Amino acid sequence: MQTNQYCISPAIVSEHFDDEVIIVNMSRGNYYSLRGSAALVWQGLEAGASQDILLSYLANAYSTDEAVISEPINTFLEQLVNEALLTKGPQSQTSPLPTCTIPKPFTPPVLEIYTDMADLLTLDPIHDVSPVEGWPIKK
Amino acid sequence: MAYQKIDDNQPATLSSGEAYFTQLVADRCRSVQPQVSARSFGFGDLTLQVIFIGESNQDFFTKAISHRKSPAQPNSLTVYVVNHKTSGIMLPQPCWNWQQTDGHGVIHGLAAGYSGTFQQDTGVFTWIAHTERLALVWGTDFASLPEWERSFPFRYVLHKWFEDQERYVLVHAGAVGTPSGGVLLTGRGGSGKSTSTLACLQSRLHYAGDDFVMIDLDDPFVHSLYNVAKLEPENLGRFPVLQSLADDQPIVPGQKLQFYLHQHYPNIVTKGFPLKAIMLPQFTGSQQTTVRPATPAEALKALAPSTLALLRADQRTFQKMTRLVHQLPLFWLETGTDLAQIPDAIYSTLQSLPTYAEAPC
Repeated sequence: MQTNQYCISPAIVSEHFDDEVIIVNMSRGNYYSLRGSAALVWQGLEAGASQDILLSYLANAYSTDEAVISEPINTFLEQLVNEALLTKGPQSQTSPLPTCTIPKPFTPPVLEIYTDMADLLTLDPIHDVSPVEGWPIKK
Repeated sequence: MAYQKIDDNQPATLSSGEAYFTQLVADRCRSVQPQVSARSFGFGDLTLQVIFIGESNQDFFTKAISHRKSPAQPNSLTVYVVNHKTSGIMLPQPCWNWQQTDGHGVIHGLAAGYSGTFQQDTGVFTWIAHTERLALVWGTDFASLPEWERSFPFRYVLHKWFEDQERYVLVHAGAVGTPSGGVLLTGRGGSGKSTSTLACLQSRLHYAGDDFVMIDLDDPFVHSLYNVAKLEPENLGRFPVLQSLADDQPIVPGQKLQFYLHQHYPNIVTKGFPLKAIMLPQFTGSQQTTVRPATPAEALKALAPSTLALLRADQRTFQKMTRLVHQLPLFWLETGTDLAQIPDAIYSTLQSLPTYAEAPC
């Protein structure tokens, strides 16, 4: 069954700035930057907008047709899912999206990915111990 | 976490398996007589009373924090440092399921007020019990710990102790300044953070750390944690103040040199200063060092990833760092090859910012 609803993963943290959203995914070890239309998409996702509502919202914001932005937006959403920033599924609550008009042409959203944190999160050996007195005991 | 009875002798008055585990730890540590070798160290409004059991090389845990030595205080956090090999003290049976432990050794799902991590690669188990004001650093054999572990002792204990408090946060950054104010220096690996910090060693700026420092967010203030300067051996020639100390250094292939500055240059090391700005070093390759404004997003990207990764921290620490970058002036510190210009650029920037009253540390 295909769903057009996305949920932001509970495993990530994000912060909005004037022109940028910073997202950290500790489980994957990556962090991300969203600007321009990418930041606007994220704002919509945080409000619980469905895929259809997102397209309508962005088309209005950029004063363009949904058909023009449909493919890059859908591709971007799939990228967010692949990076485990989004999961597909029903959203329990939707808050209203702020009205805005962007005084420049639409440019496809870009997910800037930074991987240097992952190097610092190098995994320890798998923990495999017996729950007995005097642990740790490697099996 | 659901409370599970560990054995038939478990007292009914204890509210959780974690509380019982903590009591067993405390009983075993206190049973060692005589209780000797307690040392106290102050960090903000927290005093660690460190009690060594079976540990002969106590400097391994205290040299980096020797400048934070303080009188014992009531309501301290008691930290037992237990060397299993020399004390024979065993760990109690765990009150958690090992499936709760992630690949980093962090034990998830513990009752509120308890934190634990077990680094199986080093054989070190760390436990923090907030209500009981007790922490345990237990190792199978501390003599086998890697040398770099001595440069940031009790890092996990301090981080977990302050993690759910709004006021303090540990961050991965250097810090230099004067008694009236200083800067954080932070950035991704290779950005020049350590070089910029160490370039200030022979200037009018004091040293509060080049790796981890603690920030008081309520009244922005840098608390020095560790007096250790770290340097790649190939960069030693650029820092004359450190060259004379290099002969004392054990050479560990692939590891940075460590210089315990408080031991050699106590006047260089400060316990802290009001925090006036955050600077993001960026090596340019030119000779000159220049300063230009940075944005909060740029500062968060410089500060958050390494802090979160090295501390295995969660959203609470992220939110505290977000608060920090919103409340301070932010600058890029574009560093050049003439290292002497770095402290001058920092000092000039500090002079251009408002001065606050000096705060006690």
